Amino acid sequence: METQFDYFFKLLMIGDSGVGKSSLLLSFTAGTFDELSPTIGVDFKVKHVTVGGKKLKLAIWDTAGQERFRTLTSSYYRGAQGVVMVYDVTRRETFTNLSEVWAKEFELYSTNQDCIKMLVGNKVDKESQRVVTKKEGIEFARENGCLFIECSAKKHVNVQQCFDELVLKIVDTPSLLAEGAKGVKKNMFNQKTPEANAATGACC
Amino acid sequence: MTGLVMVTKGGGCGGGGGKGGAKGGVKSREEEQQNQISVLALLLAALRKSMVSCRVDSRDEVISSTLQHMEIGWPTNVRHITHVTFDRFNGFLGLPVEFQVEIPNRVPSASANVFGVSAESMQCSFDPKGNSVPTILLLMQERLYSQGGLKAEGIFRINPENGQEEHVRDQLNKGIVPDNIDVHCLAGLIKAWFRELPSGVLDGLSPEQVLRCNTEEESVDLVKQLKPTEAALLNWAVGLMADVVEEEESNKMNARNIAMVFAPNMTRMSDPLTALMHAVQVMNLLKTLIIKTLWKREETAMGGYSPMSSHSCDCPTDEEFDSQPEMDTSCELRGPTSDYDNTLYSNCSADEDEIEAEVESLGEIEECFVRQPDEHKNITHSFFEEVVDESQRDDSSPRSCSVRSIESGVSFTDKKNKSSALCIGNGENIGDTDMVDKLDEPTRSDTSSLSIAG
Repeated sequence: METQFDYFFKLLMIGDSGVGKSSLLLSFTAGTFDELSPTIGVDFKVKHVTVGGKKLKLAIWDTAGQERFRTLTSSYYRGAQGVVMVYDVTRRETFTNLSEVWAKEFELYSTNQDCIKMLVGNKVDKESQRVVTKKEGIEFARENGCLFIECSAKKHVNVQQCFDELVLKIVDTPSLLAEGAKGVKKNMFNQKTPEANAATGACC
Repeated sequence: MTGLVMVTKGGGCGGGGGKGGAKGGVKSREEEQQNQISVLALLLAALRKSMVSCRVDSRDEVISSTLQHMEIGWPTNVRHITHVTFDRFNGFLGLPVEFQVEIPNRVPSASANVFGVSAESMQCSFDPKGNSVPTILLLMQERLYSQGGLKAEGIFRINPENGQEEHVRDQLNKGIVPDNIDVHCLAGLIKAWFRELPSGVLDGLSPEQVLRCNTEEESVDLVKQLKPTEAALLNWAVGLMADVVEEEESNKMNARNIAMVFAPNMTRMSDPLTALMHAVQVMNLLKTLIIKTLWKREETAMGGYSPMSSHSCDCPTDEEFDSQPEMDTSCELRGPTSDYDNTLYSNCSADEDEIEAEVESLGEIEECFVRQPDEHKNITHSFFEEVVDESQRDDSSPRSCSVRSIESGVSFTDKKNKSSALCIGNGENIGDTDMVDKLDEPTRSDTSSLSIAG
């Protein structure tokens, strides 16, 4: 059952309440969609992917968008190699809050200069209700040095691509790759201990 | 509070002369004049202080020097100019223009600020249920309802736009409720109002008390321990949340959802991680209270009981209802023999990890029960089957669609509390790795949206 992996990365999802952070994550990890309850505090999922023959383990932290939990978020940013900034294309305020609130928080708390940012416009399945254009998204991404994609967690459109692009970019960044490898060493060490115990147990 | 402003023409004392020369409303009897002189002197002194910036300095000096070395004579040319009233909402009414410069136009409440101030020091009004709550909350609630906020999808969950919230907040602090506020902004400000109280509404209850409280009866007893101010605020908030849940079909906010977004704002803790753990317990408490409120409303609407009995806590119906022996805290589903009460209660104490997966479906069940309290016997059976199906499906679906590579974790469970706290404390991704490994719980992706299984 032990899954071997070569690199370990921490990703973070931020954005306003109800934009679909948890849904996006659920869509990515399980391929399902559900009407989810608000997240309390933080939630995370792990997914293994293979990029260029390397096995990666992704720990994706899904933060709560509720205002009360913003005091907590500073600790989430630490050590993240990638951050997914989500807004809802049908609600402009979620887009403006990204620049006014979330991008600033990120600048403030992120410990990693090279951390990759991915801007995600979610809910494109509601095309008729769209208020934030794709052009605006691209513009924002360009100004803030982010990757950009529009997707729909409900219809599973572009969800995989979103995480794929982010991970590819992380792997392309040497400093982040080095961090990812560092995490593995510690991890391997920890894993070996119980294995060794189990082995001796089997012998006797 | 009312007062008379008396202004004498020509700066007051006419050099000791004018005996009996007072006109316009000043009676000529000697004793009364004596009294009025002293009153006038006091008034003048007070006015002199407050009018420094209104009056020309030289004139002020004349008055003071006159006062110093002259015997005070009778007032002359006294006129009643205006009648001034004061109240906390409208400020001073009828004040002459020359005085208005000194005094703010509107005095909204006893305190200048609306947020971050305890309810005791605010202007309060009564809501229809007789709770004394700050007027500003009632104003926001009224506006929220009149603008159709109850039907807005994700009301109280969705964040308002940051810029607008700041603007509206400033206006509210000045005592103005601006027009055309976005409903999410109103909802966000109501939550913010609770969040920014000097002490949380439920801070009077210890986390242990809330943790131990599992049934509806216990919940009701527990909140009775709150002080009157907090009890009124809580009661009002529960009513508001119940109003939201009644529109669930439009706003998609069920009792659990609305309780979840309110809970973290009801307590104030220095340590955010503890607050996080506590929030889940508070959420369960709020949910219980909301469901009880809805149930009572339904009962009243059904007309099965007189309004008196449904409002009274001691009515026999409630006692019977509350004291069911099946009222179980263990959350175990007992199969088809369980009755309605058990079903209703069983999810009030979702404090075990395993149960969380079922809460969603139970949430729906309880909604149905609340709607159709008279048909509960039949429904119970069919729903229990459904619950079983649901949980089976919940368990099996991740398995069938996964893939060993998909794992998901429940980030803050009681047992693992220490490891997660540690992880956030040292904040290195090495630590995260450890935690991820410790918390890997195979095939439980459905529960992971409920991130803390308190």
